Amino acid sequence: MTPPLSVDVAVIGGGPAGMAAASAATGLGCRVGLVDSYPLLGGQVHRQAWRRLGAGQDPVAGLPRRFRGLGADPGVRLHLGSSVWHARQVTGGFELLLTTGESVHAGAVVLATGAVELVLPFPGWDLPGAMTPGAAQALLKGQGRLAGRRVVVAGSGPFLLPVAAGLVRAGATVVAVAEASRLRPGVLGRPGVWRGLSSSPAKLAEGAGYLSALLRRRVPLLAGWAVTACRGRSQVEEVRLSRLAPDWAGWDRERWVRADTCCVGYGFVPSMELARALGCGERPRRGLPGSAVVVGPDQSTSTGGVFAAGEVCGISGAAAAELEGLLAGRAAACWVGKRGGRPGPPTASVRRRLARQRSFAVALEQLGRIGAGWTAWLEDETPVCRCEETTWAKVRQAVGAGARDLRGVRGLTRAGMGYCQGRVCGPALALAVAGLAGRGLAEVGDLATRSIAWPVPLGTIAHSAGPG
Amino acid sequence: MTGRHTADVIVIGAGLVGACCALALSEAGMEVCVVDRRGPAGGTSAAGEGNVLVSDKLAGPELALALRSRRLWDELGSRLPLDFELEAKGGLVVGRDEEEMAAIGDLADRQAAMGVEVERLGPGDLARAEPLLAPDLAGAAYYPQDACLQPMLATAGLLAAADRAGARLMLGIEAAGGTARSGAGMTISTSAGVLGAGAVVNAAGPWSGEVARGLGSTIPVKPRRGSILVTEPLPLAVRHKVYEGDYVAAVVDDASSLACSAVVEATRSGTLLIGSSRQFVGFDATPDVGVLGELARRALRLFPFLSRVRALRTYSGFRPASPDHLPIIGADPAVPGLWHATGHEGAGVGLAPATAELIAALVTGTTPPVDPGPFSPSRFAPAPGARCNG
Ligand SMILES: Cc1cc2nc3c(=O)[nH]c(=O)nc-3n(C[C@H](O)[C@H](O)[C@H](O)COP(=O)(O)OP(=O)(O)OC[C@H]3O[C@@H](n4cnc5c(N)ncnc54)[C@H](O)[C@@H]3O)c2cc1C
Ligand SMILES: Cc1cc2nc3c(=O)[nH]c(=O)nc-3n(C[C@H](O)[C@H](O)[C@H](O)COP(=O)(O)OP(=O)(O)OC[C@H]3O[C@@H](n4cnc5c(N)ncnc54)[C@H](O)[C@@H]3O)c2cc1C
Repeated sequence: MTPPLSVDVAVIGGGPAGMAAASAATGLGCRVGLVDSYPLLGGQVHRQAWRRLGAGQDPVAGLPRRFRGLGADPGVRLHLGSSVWHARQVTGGFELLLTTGESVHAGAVVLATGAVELVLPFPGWDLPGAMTPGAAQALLKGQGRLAGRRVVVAGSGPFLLPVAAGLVRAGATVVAVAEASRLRPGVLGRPGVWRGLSSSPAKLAEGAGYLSALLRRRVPLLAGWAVTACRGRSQVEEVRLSRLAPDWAGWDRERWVRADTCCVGYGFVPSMELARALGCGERPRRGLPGSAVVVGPDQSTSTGGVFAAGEVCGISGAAAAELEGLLAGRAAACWVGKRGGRPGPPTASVRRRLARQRSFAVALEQLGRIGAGWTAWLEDETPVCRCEETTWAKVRQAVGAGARDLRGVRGLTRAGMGYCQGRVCGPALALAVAGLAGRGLAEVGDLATRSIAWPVPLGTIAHSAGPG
Repeated sequence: MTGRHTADVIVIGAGLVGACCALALSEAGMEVCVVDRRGPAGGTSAAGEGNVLVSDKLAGPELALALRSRRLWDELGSRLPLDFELEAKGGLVVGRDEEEMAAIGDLADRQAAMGVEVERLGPGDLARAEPLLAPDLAGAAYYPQDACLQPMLATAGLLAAADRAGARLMLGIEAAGGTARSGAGMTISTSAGVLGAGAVVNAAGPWSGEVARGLGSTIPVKPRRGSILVTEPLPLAVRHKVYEGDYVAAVVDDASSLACSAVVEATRSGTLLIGSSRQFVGFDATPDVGVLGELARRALRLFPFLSRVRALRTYSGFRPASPDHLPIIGADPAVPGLWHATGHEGAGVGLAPATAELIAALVTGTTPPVDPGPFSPSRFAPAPGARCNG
């Protein structure tokens, strides 16, 4: 076994949360190890184009200026293009096992693993040309490629707007942007909603900017509409848009539009695998599948020495992720006994800004909820798990045969047993099974694993997983 | 507390063993009710592999039960209302050197004397049977009767058949305790109220010790944890169930720390399952990558090509272990009306149908096809007079 590399603070995830944590910790004199699966830093929101020129591409060149220092910082060791497949407590701290076969020992860990998109299946979602908004955006940012020429962007949540605006700017025709939720009268009067929205004028302005860019190109913006099917011979050719009934139980109007691509996503689900491996306390998300890491005011988790920041603690957007990263990096440095070095902005002001960002996110979350009746658009033959081609009829049969939770359904249908291990289908399956079995989301559980957070060659396991 | 009469027999546990018991008892004419706090196969039956083996049994009573069960699985394969992927793919027990081969041959001879089909393979035959095995192995014993199935589908199929035969399923209901009724039968308290029946079958797998305690008895069943690595799907890389010759030694090794032995097999969807570990750690489910490392190292010794194959996930389960490695099947010696069908450790899938056949015969008072004596729960009861002797 190769001897482990030793650092004070290990940061998992190189998005805004992870980069901010690494900067804060190195600023306080820590040796930092920063790991990300992608070969360049940035995470989702600051994703950089990867030119595939082999080694040698500067992993920070395309980042906002405040992060570029990470590339040349002697206190930061970057492990890029390498995933943490397991993390565990060992004497004196933590051990991260990487898919490259390396292992990193650290006194403290910052989890900044972000989130994955929530996909709700619909007939035709397995056709080429059907994808998530994030995938379309990653193609654009990571490879400079347009996902398609005529695109429908649909689903729910504020993320649809930047994706649609980005596609329009890059030359695609956006046929429609369909937001499934409808702004119901009275929702603005709910506690916190108005205050949350007005707490962040900058964010409202950002949203307004995307909207006006779309309106200038006469992109139809539909509220209360969803993509309920798409079809085509060997790829998406037509997309069905439906005006949803209350709670999404069916629809009263529909129209088929011509498009070669549809990007559909319903928000995000925190990536919890490593948090679970480290035993961090988690909380369910109201009305949404998956759970989030519970953190204190300094981003500490219930496991001493483990801190969490960004979307893994709940979906509050990139600005909040960065502020949380800053706090987590500081707290991790403090945990390993480093307090000197460069002073940053005072903690109290960081917390105030963070509180504003979070109340904005909470308000947005109240505006859009997934309607319990969404499964109305599934047909018997619709694959719910693409890896194993498990159909909706099979899932219903499994629940009819007595399966009452996700693991039970997986055992009877193979849903979630394929390559993605339920990362794609698990959250939607949780919503569907909870509906079918008449149980709460927490009761039906999830498919997230604890021991292997990322596919890893057996040779690497054999080589690096010694006795704990 | 008398409890309304719910059924002739209440089966606690809807794992493979409970599901088989429910079907056998219903078909024997009893009115059956199955209670499980989770769903079908909510326990170990969803957390193991699905092998129906004769190869791993020492020549003795468990092998007799296994041979009977193997035949019953074939019958079930042709009559359950659901395809549960039963396949006689055959087992290969491989030896690394002459010494291991001698031990493997010795066991094979004794098993053959009881009716097991087994064939010796030299290195050449072995390479033809399983081309991707390491080239330096000394040989193998080939067991064509070894089969596999998908335990969760099998459980669902058994319960559907039991349902057709009149059994009632009560899922999401926990059995908390109970007492023998004066006269005959038992009363049990559950999260859905008090139920009464002429007989109660404890098929609660690794939890059957707790269930027995709640019903006023004791049986020595302990959970023995096992972990499995699951790989990405591969087309037809491993054809048989392949395991190391020292597997049987690991089964009977009572060390509480860790007993490991490589077991590699493919599932119908092409993923490989890699086991097998045995640990007494209570119901502790904390991930233990040290165990995964050991499983991977052993599997690579058998199949070097696995080095580049990716593992996608792991799972672990708790085998219901009995102290003498024999299942516990039959009437409770202390509580009239209570029956046990448990303690199968790593063989409950294979042994479930024959276990159920024994239970149905014993409960209805007919002659069982296999001698139930060696499995009797009374073997753990203190000998008469033991208490007086201190
Ligand atoms: C596909 C996608 C696109 C998005 N685009 C936008 C956008 O344009 N605008 C916007 O405001 N928000 C966007 N979001 C939301 C976005 O996630 C947040 O706003 C912000 O990026 C969150 O920052 P983060 O640091 O928490 O996570 P992320 O930026 O998601 O960073 C997490 C990082 O962790 C890495 N990682 C995860 N697990 C491991 C592991 N086991 N080993 C190694 N590395 C690991 C990932 O590779 C990733 O780089 C997007 C989200 C997704 C999923
Ligand atoms: C890693 C591993 C690999 C294995 N491989 C094999 C193999 O290849 N071949 C083989 O034959 N065997 C194998 N086994 C063993 C086999 O899985 C078990 O012997 C078998 O599943 C036991 O079945 P069961 O019905 O007795 O128990 P379980 O399947 O555990 O069922 C017990 C049921 O009782 C319920 N229950 C418990 N307490 C209560 C209560 N108080 N009230 C109501 N319900 C309750 C539980 O919810 C559960 O559903 C393996 C086991 C493991 C862990």
